[in-house]
Amino acid sequence: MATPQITLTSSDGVDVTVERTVAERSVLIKNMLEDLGDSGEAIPIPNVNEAVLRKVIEWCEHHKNDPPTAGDEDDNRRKTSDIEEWDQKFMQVDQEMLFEIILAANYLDIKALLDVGCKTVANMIKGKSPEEIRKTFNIQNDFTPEEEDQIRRENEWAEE
Amino acid sequence: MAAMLQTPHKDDLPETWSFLEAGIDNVMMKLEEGVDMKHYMALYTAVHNFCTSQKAVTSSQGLQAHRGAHLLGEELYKLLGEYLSRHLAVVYKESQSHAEEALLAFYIREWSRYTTAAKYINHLFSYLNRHWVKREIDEGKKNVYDVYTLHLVKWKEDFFEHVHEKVMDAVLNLIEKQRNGETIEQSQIKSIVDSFVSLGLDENDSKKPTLEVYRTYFQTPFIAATKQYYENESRQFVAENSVVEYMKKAEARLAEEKDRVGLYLHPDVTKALTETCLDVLVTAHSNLLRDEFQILLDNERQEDLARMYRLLSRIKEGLDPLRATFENHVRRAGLTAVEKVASEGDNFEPKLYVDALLQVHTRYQNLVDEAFNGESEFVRSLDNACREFVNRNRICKTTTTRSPELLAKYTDGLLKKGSKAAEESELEEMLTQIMTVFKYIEDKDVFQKFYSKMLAKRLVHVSSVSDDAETSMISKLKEACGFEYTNKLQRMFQDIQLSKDLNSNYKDHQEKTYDDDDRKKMVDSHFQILGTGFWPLNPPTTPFNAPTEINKTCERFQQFYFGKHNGRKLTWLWQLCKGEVKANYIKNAKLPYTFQVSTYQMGILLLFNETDTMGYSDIQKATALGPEVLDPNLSILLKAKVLLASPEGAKPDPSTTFTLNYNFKNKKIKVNLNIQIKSEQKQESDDTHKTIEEDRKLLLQSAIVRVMKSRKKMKHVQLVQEVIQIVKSRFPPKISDIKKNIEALMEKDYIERLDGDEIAYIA
Amino acid sequence: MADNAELESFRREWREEVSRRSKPRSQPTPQSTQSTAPAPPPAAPAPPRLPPYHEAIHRKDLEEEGEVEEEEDGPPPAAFDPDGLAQRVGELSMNSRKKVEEDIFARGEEEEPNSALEHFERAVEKEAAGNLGDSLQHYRKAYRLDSAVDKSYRNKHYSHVWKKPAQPPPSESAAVPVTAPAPTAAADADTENLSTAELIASFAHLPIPQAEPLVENTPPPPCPIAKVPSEVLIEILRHVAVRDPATFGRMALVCKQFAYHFVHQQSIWKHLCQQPEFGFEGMHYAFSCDTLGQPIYTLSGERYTPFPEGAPLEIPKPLSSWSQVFQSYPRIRFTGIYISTVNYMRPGAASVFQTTSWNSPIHIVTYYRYLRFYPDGSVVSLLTTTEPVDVVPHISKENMMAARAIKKGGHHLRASEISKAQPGTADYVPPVAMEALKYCLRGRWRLTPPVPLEDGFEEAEFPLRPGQKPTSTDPRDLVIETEGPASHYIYMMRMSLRSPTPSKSHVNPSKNTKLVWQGFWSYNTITDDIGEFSHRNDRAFVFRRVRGWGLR
Repeated sequence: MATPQITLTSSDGVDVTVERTVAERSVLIKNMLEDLGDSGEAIPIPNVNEAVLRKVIEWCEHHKNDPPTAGDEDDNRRKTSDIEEWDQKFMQVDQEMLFEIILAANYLDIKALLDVGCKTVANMIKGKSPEEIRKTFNIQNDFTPEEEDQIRRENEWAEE
Repeated sequence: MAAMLQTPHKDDLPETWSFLEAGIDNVMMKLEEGVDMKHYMALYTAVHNFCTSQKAVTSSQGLQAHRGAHLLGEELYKLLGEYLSRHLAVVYKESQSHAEEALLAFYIREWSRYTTAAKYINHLFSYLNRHWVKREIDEGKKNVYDVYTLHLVKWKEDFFEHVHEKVMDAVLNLIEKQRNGETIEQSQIKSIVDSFVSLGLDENDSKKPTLEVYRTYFQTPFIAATKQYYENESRQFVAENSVVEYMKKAEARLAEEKDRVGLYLHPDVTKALTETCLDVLVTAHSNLLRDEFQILLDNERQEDLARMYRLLSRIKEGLDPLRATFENHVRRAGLTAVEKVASEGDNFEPKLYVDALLQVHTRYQNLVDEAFNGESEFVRSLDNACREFVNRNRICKTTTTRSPELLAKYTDGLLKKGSKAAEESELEEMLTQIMTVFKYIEDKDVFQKFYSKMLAKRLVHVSSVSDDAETSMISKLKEACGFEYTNKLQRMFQDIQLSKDLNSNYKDHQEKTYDDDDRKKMVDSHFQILGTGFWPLNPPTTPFNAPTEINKTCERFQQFYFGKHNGRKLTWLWQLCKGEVKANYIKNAKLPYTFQVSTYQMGILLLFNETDTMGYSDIQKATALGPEVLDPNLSILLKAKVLLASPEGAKPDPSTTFTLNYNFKNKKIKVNLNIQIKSEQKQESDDTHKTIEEDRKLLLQSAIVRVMKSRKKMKHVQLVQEVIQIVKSRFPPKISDIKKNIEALMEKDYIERLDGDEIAYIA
Repeated sequence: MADNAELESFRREWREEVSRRSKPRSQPTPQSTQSTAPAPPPAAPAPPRLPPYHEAIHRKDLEEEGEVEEEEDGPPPAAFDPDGLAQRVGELSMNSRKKVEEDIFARGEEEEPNSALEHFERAVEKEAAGNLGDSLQHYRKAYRLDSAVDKSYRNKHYSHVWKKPAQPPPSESAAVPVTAPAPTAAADADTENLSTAELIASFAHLPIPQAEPLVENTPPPPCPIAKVPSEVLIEILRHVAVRDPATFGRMALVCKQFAYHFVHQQSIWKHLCQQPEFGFEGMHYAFSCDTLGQPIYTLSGERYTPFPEGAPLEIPKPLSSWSQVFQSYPRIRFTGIYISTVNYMRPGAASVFQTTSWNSPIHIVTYYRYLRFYPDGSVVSLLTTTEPVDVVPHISKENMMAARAIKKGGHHLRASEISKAQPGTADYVPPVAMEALKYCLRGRWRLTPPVPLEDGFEEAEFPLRPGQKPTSTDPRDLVIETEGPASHYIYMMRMSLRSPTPSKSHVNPSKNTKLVWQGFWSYNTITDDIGEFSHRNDRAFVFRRVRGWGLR
């Protein structure tokens, strides 16, 4: 038995066909199908381009049999900092794509994917100095030296 | 419409909102026309984009030291709330043109439209829910809810608050119509209830529903209306109808209200509704109902009694006054039944008495089971009443031990050969009934005494109807009173079994020891060895010279027995022995008559083998029997015309001479001369009563000693209490008796009196 | 011989300085004790309840040690200041801010000092670390380069104290460094640091600034993180925080937006407080294992924790934010080692005290106590003369057991094999460390619950100090029990968590990272005898982070 398929249209106008259960990893799509029913129409995804959409779908395909995460499990999920191996590999993309995935997961309401993305970024930050962090993400230091000094003193206690 | 699909600029609040408002309004007002996916996604995306835009918001947050980082969304939330208020203002205005059922229909229609839209809008605004709303709630901010809940809150504030009274009036009118027998649209009420329930929100956690709104705005007026309605109805009904009719009505109304909950109310109302109905329908009229109770009992209206029980059992302490009435009623019934038996004179059959007791018990046991649901408190009342009339009635007036005595006699009658209850199952049932009465008997020791006497006789005379029935009865008593109570009875039974074995052993022994010729000359004999301690039997009261034939037989047996059991002592209970003699002397008999006789009679008759005529003193000399035994036995022989007195018609006394009647005639070939003598019977009963008193004294004393031995020292009052506890399963002790026995033990130096009413054990 | 002459002149100068006394205090040298202190350092029992303002205790300690400099100006540069000492231990290779995560215990190439002042500073450090030989060499070099080097040193490090004209020669208690944050954060946060709070609040809506192009007029390097909305940034920060709160702290220095979140995102702080790795879920208020580290299973299964999850929580008074709770609520660190460094010297011969001869021998003894705590309620305790750089990175339960196995088995060759086989100790353990690790003791720890616990808190409060209340409810009190010299002995230590004194050279305002001795006993479990160790030479423990410990 073929599972029902639905079509998603990316922001750049490309149709991507996907199993409904896979697409429903996105709570947004799930809610919409629940509200409107599946009319066979393509679902427009105005905020995600094809490349990112395909990437997100790849993730959803892999995780389609995961138990759905309820709101209460939020904290449990947060507690483990590990990222499973497949996800680690999946997230080995350039930084722009990484953040695109995070934004898409946030938009499409795919909690687990958003989580993996945030963890990946957190791991990039872990153990780095402020300067190194800025370098990693191409962030400009917008403090004046006085401000920086003041905040440094304020936060020094957190070093240990 | 195509323009709408162009999502607004994310930084532009007015643009974003006007875009959203148009979409929301569609969902709210024209959902039936459908929303397409493009619109849906555009609306969601507009919310998302606005919340994720990073424009600097000019808000007067200033120095909010410990507030969380800024998230966007507050404006959208506010605008949405304002939109809903506007929408609901319109709805309210429209509602004012409706009343009663039309209003309900309007409310339900609008509620359904509104909540369906709320579900959509909640999804469309889910990005707002997920972040801005979640954050506000996490930080404990009041009055911020997820978007769906916001809809409910607005509905309550901007619509519900204005219309709930009018809506409830309509609902209550509808329910009253139904109570009056009209058919109504139940689903309307159900929808209203559901709506009210949905509006209950927990102050602290909007996800937790509460029934607060439902209780305040629905339940309270509903209960008040219900109360009013049934107060009026019941007052009127009682005035016009009998109590029995009223009970039927009340029961029907209670059932009806219970069903109502299932049909369209929230189950939460059940308790309040039931309580209110019971209050108004039952409690308010409970005195009226109770007054009817005696009448119903008198007329044995079981069905109505059951109804009354059902109604009153549901209110607090509703049944208590009935129990006393019931107990009195049963006691009177019992006393009346006994009265009837007693009125037929002193010589009634024990069966008559026991049947009377049982009948009353059975009748009211049934009533308790059927009408009162076997409720334990009524069972207790029944038991109390039965105990009263079983132990204290007209027949027991002289002595309370009459009841156990009569019961024991009745039992004896059943278990003795020749009783009418031939069927074994029937017998068993009667024994069970006996136990019912036995349960109420206070003087259980009296029953035991009589019962063991009679059992002894049945066993000695081999007159039991069946061993099974005997053991069944013993085991019933054991179950009721314990091992100790039946210990002796069981031992008696055992002795009989052992004796059977002994006799067959003896027979074998004889066959080995004596040849056929010898054995032909011997008397056929059967022996029972009865343990002295277990049997309620006494040695003969009179000396007796047994006939030589018997003596020889006894000696042979003794020889055999002592060979087996060295050092034992055998006492012959002549008064219980019996035998048969053949009268070969009678002339005109084709077959010789056989006389069944007691050993004493045998001793007299065998004297006539030597001579045909004997004087009284000769007989007395030869048999050594005392006149108290000899005289009645001679009288029996005279009466049966086995012997003839001379002078004719003379009573047995020293001047009388006795002659063997060669012309004896009887219809039967076997003639039973072994008849119990009246005076013996009376004597026996008196003796039994006397031993009971003696036993009770011993039981009391042993109880006192046992308590004192374990306690060493205790107050007099306490001791008396404990002793009562110990013996009350056997008989109800009199306190004066206990005191008397305490004194007696003091005299015997078992215990001593100390200062301050204390008693001490002397080791 | 030239060296000797140099040294002689240095000594002369020094003695002159001592005799002058009116001048600001000079650098202390080890010899100072030798010349002025006829008695060995007396035991300095810690007061039973330390006042929150622990400067006073410091002073007391110092006075009782008979420091000659007691009348001199300025705070002692830590001749016997245990904190300073240990801090310098930490600083040996730490270039404090540039390479924050650098392993301070790694043996690295030390930068050679060049100027006289640098040599002098190094000498002070070495001296403080108990390394008197090196210290002497640096002093010598310093004076050779600049005979007035001590003045420059004073000008550099203590000018803020004695330059204040209006002040009379300040007492030591007045020498609390004015720049360091005072230990009670709650009170200060609202007053002194108001400006910082305002400053940070003003960052609320600033975007993450993108780096400028490397080459002018070319497109700037991509900065995708700048597009991430706050709600997602917060999620990322939360993940950073639970991995290592220190990194989270550093995020505040990256850019203004992060600084804002660091201060204002209380939910992250609350989460940190509640989780076991760094927060209070990992604190034990009743022993949860025996002295050998075997878990104790209680029937109730419910363990006291001050901020349980799922229950509505209030920020404990007088604190007003979860970051303050995390900062100042008593907390044991699992990310490093607690070190107590004890220096004392013993005269080589009795005559030393009567003569001014510099040739008399002195024995300088330096030993260390190390404590490594684990979140499961166990602790490893080590008393050794082995220096931190040699042994600290290797202190772990696994290595301890490996070292013991060798001690028993006598197979030195297997040392590295075992340490490799043990999980978490992939590194090679050098023999010098292995040798020291043999003396590690297993133990357990618990904090004092702020409220008396009900069931399961069966511990008999022994031994008590005279006058001490039987049940302390000071949540800063720490109880440690370890194995003793034999199986029927238990060592018991009572400590108080205190915040380190900020010193000029090392400003570490982390709260409650210092462990001050309350008492030290041995308990014979068979005879029920309790023996108290004297407090002689006991120094407070200070905390040093060790790379890779306690992080995920």
